Amino acid sequence: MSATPKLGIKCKLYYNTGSYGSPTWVEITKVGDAKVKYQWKSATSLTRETRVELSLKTALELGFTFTLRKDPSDANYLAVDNAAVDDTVLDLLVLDGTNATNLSRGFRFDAQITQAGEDQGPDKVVHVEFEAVPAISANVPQRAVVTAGSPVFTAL
Amino acid sequence: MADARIDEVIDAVAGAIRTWWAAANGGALPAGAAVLANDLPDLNEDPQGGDAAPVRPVGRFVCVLPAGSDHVGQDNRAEDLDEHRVAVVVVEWFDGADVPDLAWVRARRVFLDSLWRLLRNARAEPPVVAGCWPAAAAVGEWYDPAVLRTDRAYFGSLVVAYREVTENVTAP
Repeated sequence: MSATPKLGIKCKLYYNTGSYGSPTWVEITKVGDAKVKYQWKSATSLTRETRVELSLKTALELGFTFTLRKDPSDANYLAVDNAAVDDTVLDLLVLDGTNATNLSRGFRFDAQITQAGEDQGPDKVVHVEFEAVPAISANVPQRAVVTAGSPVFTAL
Repeated sequence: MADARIDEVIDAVAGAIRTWWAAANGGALPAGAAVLANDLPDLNEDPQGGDAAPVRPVGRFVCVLPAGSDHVGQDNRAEDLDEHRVAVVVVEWFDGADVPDLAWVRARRVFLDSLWRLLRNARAEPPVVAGCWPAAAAVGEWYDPAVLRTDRAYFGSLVVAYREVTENVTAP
């Protein structure tokens, strides 16, 4: 029997309220639409050995776009919304399951919120669209895979 | 035990109607008037007759009734979008012997129109139903001509759909 399909509604976004070495993961719950993107840039090489253009991966573009239902009474919403208007770096953990469910996979990275916007149409429930991108910091982005009930991180 | 959400919506709508109607009538509902939640007066009430015949109710009744609920979808990972619909029925027997004239009917339509505008107002602060907003409001019947002729009563109705974003609590 095949495994239960991954559902978007069950994916998780956490941010760290503790230290980097001893994280306390707090779930940001009111996430609506969300997309994780990891796309490699590549360098091409064209030589006489073949007419096929060859390339090798060079740098990985990692990003996470998501919407949050706007709720200023929610401290976790405020953490993201405030980071959208200053230089705050958030330690984010983006997973396709909980951080205690084995085989949940995703990324951990120090992120700045570089983009935010909201549709205030008269028939809308206001959701704010955010974009989180890896920031220059002392901590490199990491692949996260939950093993034995806890995330295991591998530097990218 | 907590009420079902639809009953909380019905009670809130009935309360808003009572408050609005009383404010428009010097602080109290008109004589004989009633706002009923989850109840409807008997439309088959017999006209005034002999000593044993029941007496036709006097006054205007506004009845707030459940009209269905939908789970519209997931708003976000933590909350669902629900819709609760309430039917609001206005019933009033004519206190004369003949079939009421158009002017009498039109006056009741004015009342129904005002109810429609009250309950569909998404800008109201505070909202009619706490935590909800009106997503749609439709007048189903401005008057029922059959009820008017046979029962000498006005019957009008509207349905308002209230939506809310809510956590999916399942505890009984």
